[in-house]
Amino acid sequence: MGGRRVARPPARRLNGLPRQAAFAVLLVAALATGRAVEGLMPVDDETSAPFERTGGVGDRVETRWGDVEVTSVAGSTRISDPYGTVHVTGGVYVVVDWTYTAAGEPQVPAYVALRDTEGRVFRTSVERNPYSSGGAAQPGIPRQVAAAIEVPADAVAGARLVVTLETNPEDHRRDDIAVIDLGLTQDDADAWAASEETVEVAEPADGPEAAS
Amino acid sequence: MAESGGRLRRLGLGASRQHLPLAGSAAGAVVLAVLVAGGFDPLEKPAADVAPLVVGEAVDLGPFTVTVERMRVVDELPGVSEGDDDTRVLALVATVTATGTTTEYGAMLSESVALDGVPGVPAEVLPGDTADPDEPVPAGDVYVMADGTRLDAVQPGLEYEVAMVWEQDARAAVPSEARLVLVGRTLRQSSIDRSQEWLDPLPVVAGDIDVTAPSAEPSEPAEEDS
Repeated sequence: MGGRRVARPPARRLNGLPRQAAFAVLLVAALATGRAVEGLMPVDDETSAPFERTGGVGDRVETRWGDVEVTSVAGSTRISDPYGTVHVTGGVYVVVDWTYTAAGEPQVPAYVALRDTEGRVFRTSVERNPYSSGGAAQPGIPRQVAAAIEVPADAVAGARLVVTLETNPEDHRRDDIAVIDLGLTQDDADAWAASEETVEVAEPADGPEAAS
Repeated sequence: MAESGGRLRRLGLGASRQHLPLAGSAAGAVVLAVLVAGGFDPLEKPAADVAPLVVGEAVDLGPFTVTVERMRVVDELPGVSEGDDDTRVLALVATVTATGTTTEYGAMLSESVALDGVPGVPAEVLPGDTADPDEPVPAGDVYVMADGTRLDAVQPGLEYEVAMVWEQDARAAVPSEARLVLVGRTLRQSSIDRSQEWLDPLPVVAGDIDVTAPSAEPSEPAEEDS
C-alpha cells in the first residue's frame, strides 16, 4: 500500500492536467482575481491626485523636491524672450519671476503652467510661451527663473502658477505640486490687455539675488 | 551511423512532442488573459466621409477649430524663409483655436493640415523612414501672423491668425490651386496607458483652394517703413 502512494506521479493529482497547463490556469486565475480586486477598490482620480502645496506671492512653498517662491508678476500684450525675439498676443502675457531651491538632489521643475478659476490649464512651451529651467539646479542653491504664458484676458483674475517636476500630467499622481495664487484681479487683466509695453523674460540664473 | 541518426530523430520528435503541450498552454493562457483583461476592442472602420472644403468656414478637427482663409505663394516670408532661387514658400492663412481646456502643441496642428498632390512639395522624412509620394504632406510649420514667430503651443480661449507653410521646389510650376486635406482626431482613452489622448487621425475635409501668385510689387512695404 505504501509503495503505491510513492509511485503515483504528482502531476496526475490535478485530474491528469499537465503541469504547464495547470500553471497557465493558475496564472489566468491570478490575473482574473487581480482585475476583480482592482474593480472593487476605490482607485479613482481622488485617491491618485497630486498633493497641492499652496501659497501666495512671496511665500516659500515647500514640496518634496524643493522650495518655490514667486518673487514678482507682470503682464502685457508684448514680451521679449531671452533671445530677444518679441512675441505679441491677442490676449495677455503673464510673466512670473520665481525662485526654486532643489531639495536633496539636483532637480528640474519641467512642468510650469497657469491654472485659471475655470480649471483651464495654460502650459509653457519653448518659443511662444518661453520658460527655461536652466537645467538641474544643485540642492540648496536658489535659482531665479522666469516663465511667460499667454492667456485670454478672462483667465488672469485668480490665476495660479503650477510647478512640478514631470512634464506629463499623468505622472503628477501622488506627487507634490506647488500651486501659487498670483493674487491677480480683473484690474490687472484690463491693464495688461491694454499694455503694449514689452516685458522682458529673464534668463535663468543661480544665486539669491541673481535676477535683481 | 544510420542507427545514431535514427536516435537523434527520435530525440527530436520527443522534444517537439514535449513542447507541444507547453506551447498550447502558453497560447491558451495568452488568449484567456486577453479575454479576462477585456478582450480586444473592435476596431471601427472609418467611413470615407470627407466633407468638401469651404473657404471661410470653421472646421472642427477635434483638438482645434480651423478656418481656412486664403493661400498664396511668397518668395520670402520675414523671419520664416530666406527666399532663394531653389525654393518658394506656399503659405496658407487660417484662423485657429484650441477646443479643449488645456494647451495643445503646435506639432499636432501642423499635422492637421496637409497639401495633396502639389508638385515639388516633399514630405519631411525622418532618418530611417520612407515617404509615400501619394500621401498628403503636412504643413512644415505654423507661424503667428501678428509677430512672425513660430506657434508651438495653442492656448485655450485664444484665436490665432496663422500662416501654415510648405516649401516648394522652385523648379516645379507655381500652382494656381492646391488640394488641402484637413485631418481630424478623436479624444479617447489610449489602450497603452489609459490616458486621454487625441488619436485616430482621419481626413474630415478636403478640397481645392486658389493659390495667389507672388505679388508683382518689388518689395514688402512694411520692411521699408521700419
